[in-house]
Amino acid sequence: MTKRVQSAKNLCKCNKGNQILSPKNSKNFFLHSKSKSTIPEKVNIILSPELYWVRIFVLPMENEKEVLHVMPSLFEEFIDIENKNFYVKKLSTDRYLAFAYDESLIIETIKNANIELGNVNKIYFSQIEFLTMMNSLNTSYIKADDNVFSLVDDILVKIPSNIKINTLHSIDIEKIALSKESISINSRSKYVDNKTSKTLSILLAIVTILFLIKTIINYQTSEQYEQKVNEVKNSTSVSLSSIQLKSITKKYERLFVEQVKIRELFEYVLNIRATFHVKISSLSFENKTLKIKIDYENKNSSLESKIQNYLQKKYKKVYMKKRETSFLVEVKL
Amino acid sequence: MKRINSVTILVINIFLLLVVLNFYKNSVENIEESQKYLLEIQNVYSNYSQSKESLYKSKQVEKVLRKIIKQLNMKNVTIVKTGKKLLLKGENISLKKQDRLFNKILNEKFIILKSSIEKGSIMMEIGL
Repeated sequence: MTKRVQSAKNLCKCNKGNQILSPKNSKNFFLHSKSKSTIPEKVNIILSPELYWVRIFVLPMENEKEVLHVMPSLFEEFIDIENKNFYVKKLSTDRYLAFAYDESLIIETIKNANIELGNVNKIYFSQIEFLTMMNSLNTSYIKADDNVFSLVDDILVKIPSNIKINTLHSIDIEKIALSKESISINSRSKYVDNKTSKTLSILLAIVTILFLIKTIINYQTSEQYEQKVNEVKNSTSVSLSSIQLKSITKKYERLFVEQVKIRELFEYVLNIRATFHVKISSLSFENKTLKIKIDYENKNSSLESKIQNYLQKKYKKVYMKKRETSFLVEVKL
Repeated sequence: MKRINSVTILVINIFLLLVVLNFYKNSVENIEESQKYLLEIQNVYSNYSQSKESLYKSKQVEKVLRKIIKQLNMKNVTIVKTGKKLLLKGENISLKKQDRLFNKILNEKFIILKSSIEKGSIMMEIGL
């Protein structure tokens, strides 16, 4: 049976009863502040009491999960709960064995002991693991890896190793049959420590807020643009869509260009009078065609061709019709 | 008191930043579109008013035309409105006045549809 309890403080995975799943070939290692490992393979770590805080609480609560939620406030009286994780084991109906531990401290100690974090299988508390053995040996003192421990009010404490004790049993760590009460280290902590993640969080929060402010400003600016659009639309009495306006504008522009061309045609054609010293007796304009009648004052045969050449410099469609005393000129736009 | 892991806060912050960045991107696109639309509308309305002013409005045509005739003191000229055009006719007009009238009309913002000038007479059809 596997049971995962999530700490109220940190997302630490605490395992209960998954010993069956743990690799059988994993060796046990007792971790304390001065321990050094020579084991290159996977290890199960038993934490020395110096790497955690432990207390027995009597609480009117149903299960460990409920107790775990109140752990930070219960430990707050005794230790600084900043960056601490918690673990609870039910002893009897209302008695709970509660642990608080600093994950980064454990990681640091594991690293100092020359153990690869990837090689750590499970982590156990000596409080639980040693107690079973001490009960079976019926002793209050035990020695493990040159550290001496004693039971004081059911709590395992480290005592100076030079204290004279009558019967001191040494524990063979390798032979300990581990319990189902274990914790595992938050793997994410291997890459981002608390301080870094907090700093990054603050930076990201600042950047997020800045972008949020800029976004709000952008939306306000967009609204201002929309207001300006409405102002432009309301500035004229015309209630037409922009497509209709474009169409009307094009129509006006076409008409304007056409009128400019008509005036240019008049100007150019009427210049004949001054250029060739002729008299225009009639002029008519209709359907983009200008017709003029030029009277001969003296029959100059070259005049006609001169006028035609002059007109053809600018207009392609020039027609000349010769009469007895005059000739007709027709210029098409 | 329930506390949240700092890594969780970091992940939440990253997620929030991504959400805000998405909103920011949309706001930038929105602002660009609004700006573009405003410029387009300003352009459309400005072109419309300019093109409208390039030629006389129908109400102005007759007024300006009568003013020209009055200025030139031409009594033999009549103006008749037919549908969407004005017909200007003048008889027994001197060549000089004919020229002056014709030039004045050409220099104004009229829509010239037809014109006919013969000795002593002038006819012009102006669009409204």
